[in-house]
Formats: sequence, C-alpha cells, structure tokens
Amino acid sequence: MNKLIKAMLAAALLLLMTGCWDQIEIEERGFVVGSALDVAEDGKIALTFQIVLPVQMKGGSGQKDEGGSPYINLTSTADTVFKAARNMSNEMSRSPYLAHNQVIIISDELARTEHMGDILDVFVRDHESRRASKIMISNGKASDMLKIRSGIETLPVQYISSTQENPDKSESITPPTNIGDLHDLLLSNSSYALPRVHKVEGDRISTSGAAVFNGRDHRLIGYLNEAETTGRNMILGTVRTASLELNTDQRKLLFEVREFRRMIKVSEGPHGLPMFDLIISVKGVIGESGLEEVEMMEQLNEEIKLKVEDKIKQYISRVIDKSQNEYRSDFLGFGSKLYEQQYHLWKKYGDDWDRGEFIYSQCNINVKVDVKVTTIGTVTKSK
Amino acid sequence: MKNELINEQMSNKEIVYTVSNMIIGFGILTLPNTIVKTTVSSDGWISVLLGGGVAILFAWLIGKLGESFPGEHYHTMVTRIVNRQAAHILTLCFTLYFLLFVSYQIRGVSTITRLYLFDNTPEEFIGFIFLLVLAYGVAGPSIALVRLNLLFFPVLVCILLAIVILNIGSFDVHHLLPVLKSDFTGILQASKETILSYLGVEIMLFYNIFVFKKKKATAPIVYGVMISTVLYLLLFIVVIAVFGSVVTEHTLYPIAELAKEVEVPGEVFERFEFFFFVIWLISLFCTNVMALDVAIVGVMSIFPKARRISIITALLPLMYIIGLLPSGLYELHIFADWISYFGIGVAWFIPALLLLMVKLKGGRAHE
Repeated sequence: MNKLIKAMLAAALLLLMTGCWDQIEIEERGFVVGSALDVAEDGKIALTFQIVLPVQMKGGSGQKDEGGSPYINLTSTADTVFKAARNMSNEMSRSPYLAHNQVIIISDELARTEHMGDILDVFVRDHESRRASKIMISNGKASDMLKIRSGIETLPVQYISSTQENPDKSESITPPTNIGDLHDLLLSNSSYALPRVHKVEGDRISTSGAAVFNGRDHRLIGYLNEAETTGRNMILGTVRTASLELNTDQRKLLFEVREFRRMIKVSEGPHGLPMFDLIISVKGVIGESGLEEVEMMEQLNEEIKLKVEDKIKQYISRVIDKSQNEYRSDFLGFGSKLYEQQYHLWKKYGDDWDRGEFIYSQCNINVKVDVKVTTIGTVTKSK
Repeated sequence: MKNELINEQMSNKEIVYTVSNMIIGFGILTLPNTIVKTTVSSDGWISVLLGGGVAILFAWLIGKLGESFPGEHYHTMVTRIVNRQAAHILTLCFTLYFLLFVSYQIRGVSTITRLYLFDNTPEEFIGFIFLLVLAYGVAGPSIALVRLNLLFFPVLVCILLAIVILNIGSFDVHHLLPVLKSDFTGILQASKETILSYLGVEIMLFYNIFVFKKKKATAPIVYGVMISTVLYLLLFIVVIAVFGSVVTEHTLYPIAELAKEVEVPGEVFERFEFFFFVIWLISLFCTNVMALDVAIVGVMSIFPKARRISIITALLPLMYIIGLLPSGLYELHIFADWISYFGIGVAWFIPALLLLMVKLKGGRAHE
C-alpha cells in the first residue's frame, strides 16, 4: 500500500517535467514595434502591425540579406481591434508580441467616428502592452505612416517616434502622449490634444501641430496648427526653448527663449466664476540680429521686451480663443488647475465645465508676460 | 554555550520582521486602489495613518496579552483565562481564519501571476504548485519559518524602495493636489478598508511560544506594524503621484503597474516588474507558510494526538478546493472581505476582550 502511494506520488512529479507552460522562444516572437489603426470597409477596423525581423536589424557581419527589409507590415481587418490582432496570428508564423510597441498611430478618419476609449481599449487593458506606447493621430491613412523609409533610421517607427520624441527641439511639437496619460484623460473625461503626424513631400513626415479631442465623446473635433500648438505648449508649460521672430523698425530679430516658466493661479472671479491668471516669465537672448551697434541694442531693449510680450500673448490668446469659442473644449488643462487649486469651484462647475453649460467658455483668462533679455550672443558686432 | 538557533527564542528583530512581513502580503497590491474610491486626490494618506493607528492599538493589546503568558500560545492562554471548551472554540475559529486566509491567497497568487507572468498556465495548476511549496515549508519546524523573514523581509523592502526611487522621474506633484478636500465619512470608509490590510499581527499570539524569556514583546510588535504603516504610506503617495487618483481608482493592481512603469536609467533592462514579482512571491510564501503553520499548531492544540504530517495532508486539499470556489474576481473580493472581517473579530477583538478579562481578574494569569 505504502509503496503504491509512493509510486503514485513519484509519477505525479512527472507532471512537473513538462517544463515551462508558457515558454515561447525569443526567435518565435513577432516583436511589434508599431501599430496603425484605420477605417476599413463596412465600418470595420484595419489594424496594421509593424514587426521587426531581428536578422535584418543586425549590423555588420552575419548572414544579412542585403537589400532585405528589416521589418514587415501586416494588416488585418475585423470588427474589433482585438479580433484583428488575433487574425494576424493566422497570417504569420510568429505570434505578435506587444510589449515593445512604441507607437500607436490612429487615422483621423477613425478618430472622428469612433470613441478613443473603444479604439484603444485593448492597448490599455492588455497586460502585455506597456503604458509607454505613444499615441499619434495621422492625416490620411495611418498604415501609410508605417511605410515611410527615411534613410536615417532603420525602422519607420523609430523615425516617427524620434522625430516626435524631443519637444525641446521645437516649441510646435505636441509633447508625447502615452497610453498611460490617455487612460487618465479618458477616465477623467477631460478634453485633450494628441500629437499629429502627417506626410510632407514624399518620404518625410512632420509631427508639428496637434489633433484636438473633446472630453464629451472622445472624438476628434479639429486640429491646431503650428502657431496654435506653440500657444498650447506655452500654456501647458512644456516649452523649453523657442525662437520668436520679431520685426523692429524694418529689421528682423530672432529672440531665442532660453528659459520659460509659466504659472497658473486660479481665483474666484466675477459672478462666482473661476478666473485664471496665467503668468509667464521668459528669459532669452537675441539669436540673430541685423543690428550694428550694441548701444542701439540697449536702446532697443525695452522695445524688444514689448515685442516678445506681444508675440507670446498673440500665440496664447489665439489658442485660448479657439479653445473657448470655436471648439468649446478645454484641451489646455485649465480644468485640472481649477480642480487642484479651487476644489470647491470644481465641485460646483466640474460637470458643466466644457459641456452642458460650458462654464469654461465664460471664464476670464488673464495673461501676463514678463520678459528678460540676458545676453546678446557672443559678439558685439558681426559685420 | 548559548546558541540562538537551538534555543528557539525569537529575538526582537525577528519579531519586528515577522510582523511586518505578515502584514505586507497580498493587500499591498490592491491597497491604493481601494483607498481612492472614497477619497479625493491624495487624501487617502489620512486613512492609511488612521488604519495604522488602529492596527497599532490592537498590536499593543495583542502584545500585552502575550506578555501576560510568556512562552505560551493562544490555546493555553484562553484555557487559563476562561476554560478548556472556550479555548477549543476560539482556537478553532482562529485556525479556520488562517486556513481561509491561505486559501484566498493561493487563489490570489495564481490569478495575479497568471495575469502578469504565465499567460497560458491554468490558475489551478499555479495554485497547486504554490500549495506544494507551502506543504514543504510547513513540514519543518516553526522557528525556521520565522527566521525566513529575517532573510526575505529586507529584500522585499529594498525592492519596494527601488520601485519608488526608479519612479521618481514619473512623479507629477500635480497629481497630489488638491489636499484635504475629502469629507470625513469618505476618509473613514477608506480607513475601514486600510485596517483590513493590517491584519497579520495576530500571528504573534501563537508565536508567543518563542517569546518566553523576554518580558517585553509588545514594543517589537508595535514597531513591526509601524514599519508596514510607513511603507504603505510611502507606496500610496508614490502611486498617486505617478498615476493620479483617477487612474489608480480604475487600476486593479496599482503597485504591480508601478513596477511595470519603472524605467531604469540607461535602459539596462526594461522589465523591472519581474524582480518585483519574484520578491513579492517569496514574501507571500513567507506569509502563507507562517499562517499555515499557525493553523496547524492550532489544530494540534485541539487534537494533541494528531501527527503534524497527517494534519497537513488533511488540510491541503481542503484549502485548495476552498481557494477555487470563488468564480471570478468579484467573488474573490467579496471572499477576501469576509475573511478579513472574520479575522478582525476573531483575531483582534476577542484577544482584546481576553486581555480585559485578565486585567479584571487581576494576578490570576501569573499563577
């Protein structure tokens, strides 16, 4: 009897010998680096995955197939994103693995018709995908963006994501928004703007501008152009450097912003409505000047300050106007400032903020700009 | 020659680590999520502190009760204070509580490891393996299990601190604003939830057998609870600072997500969460193996003739089946709540009453 039990127990251990249940060899994984979502016929969704082929990625020696593409794009169509991803496995030998997905591009057509939350549900929910995948809206077909061959980077996805990555480079690029950020926006039902990517002249892309979504139904309602995006970035305080072109007495000056700070103070204004004071302080240098004498510069100092102030106010008031009156959506983050600073007002107006009674559109937003010119470059005279 | 390992005496350090490790078990994963449901923004820290305060009070009471009966465990304590029948009933309840606790955690461990680590492995199988490991652990002497904490608790603390430090880059102070805007009832409701995650101190009522020489076991027990309070507080604030209260509310396991969020400077490795899961599983093993051990000690005190190994063989299948009973996440949460309320009653309130009885009867305890 005892022997029998022992034998059975020993046999049961065989179960453990089958090894790892979830084992997938690294060669058998299809590493997805980018995804694109488009509208297909009959209201279906077309999902495109860009999958890397590690063999082709290897530089230098190795059996690299010259001229072979380092990636493939696979498209699959279905009613839901999840189903489309599953269908993908039918067409390829490797199962798609989403943990390294860097970019998710959504076509404007799809973003206009579908709720963002529905489109991205799989990416938010799936444990495999990372919260760091960046979301972008494309003008035109999203899958076309994954076909761009830049010549600079090996993968189109790398090209797109590094072009978009560094908002320090330009004040007119919308800072990256990842799945995690978007999850927050979706849950708090606030309006927002997402980075936009569009093709320019052949095989180049531009990531300037932004696509605006409202928090009522999370659909694309419009775009911001470069100047408006600059204004938005200034309000959000994400600007690090910027170059402003100024016209003074027939001369063109370039003011380079070196330090940019913004503060938003919320108080209770007239009629008990929230009032916002946007205080911006800028420090910068004259980057390019047609001026001959330093003395003249110093005389012009006051004028430059005024011009810079005007320029910044112009950017900001334009985007505020668009946000309050045209789109009537608070994609500039004033609502969250209200929540942070005047919670009682938020409790009162939060539900009617940029919907219902559109309290946001009635609020006063005052802008104050403080400019300091620090140096004028390294030379006193350039010609 | 005195040998610490042979004399089966728990040092103060061991008590502190055991209590902390016992408390920080499964609950840490979901804690922030339950708190923000009823509080505004980052105000939940008050609830964490309130919960900790209540836990410290009970820890003190449990410690005092233990001090009155040095070197004896719960069953003997109750026998001395009331009588044998009461001791049987109370110990049985206590044992039942710990068994349910382990069943729940086995299920929880399998659910979460499947979600994050083994996509295709059936939960039943993960649970089974975990159970086998527990059986192995519990087959040895209790004092060895207690000393495991000495090894693993510092590692757990290190990994939790690493998660905090490596997430500094993702902090957004604005997520913490506004402060102090929650209403009082909301904070109290959240405190009710936090108190549940401080269960675990009661283990010292049984491990009191290893505290026979020292007269002062209360202080280390209270320190143990304090350490967990501080860790809870830190993690809660970091979770809110990284995710914001809205996302936290809708994330099932915020701490696991926090571990996933980690970006190591220089991108040496991307998937930090594996380290967290490994350590967390070891820590859960310690917690469960102690709970199971105590349950077995409880059974043995009621049936003194039973052999340890036969009790283990009888209990394991039972726990496995109980663990499989809840049919989904929702039922699992309800199950967990019941166990916790049962635990608070059996393991905190009754010992407090017992202590009261000891004090009322005066010196009888020291006969």
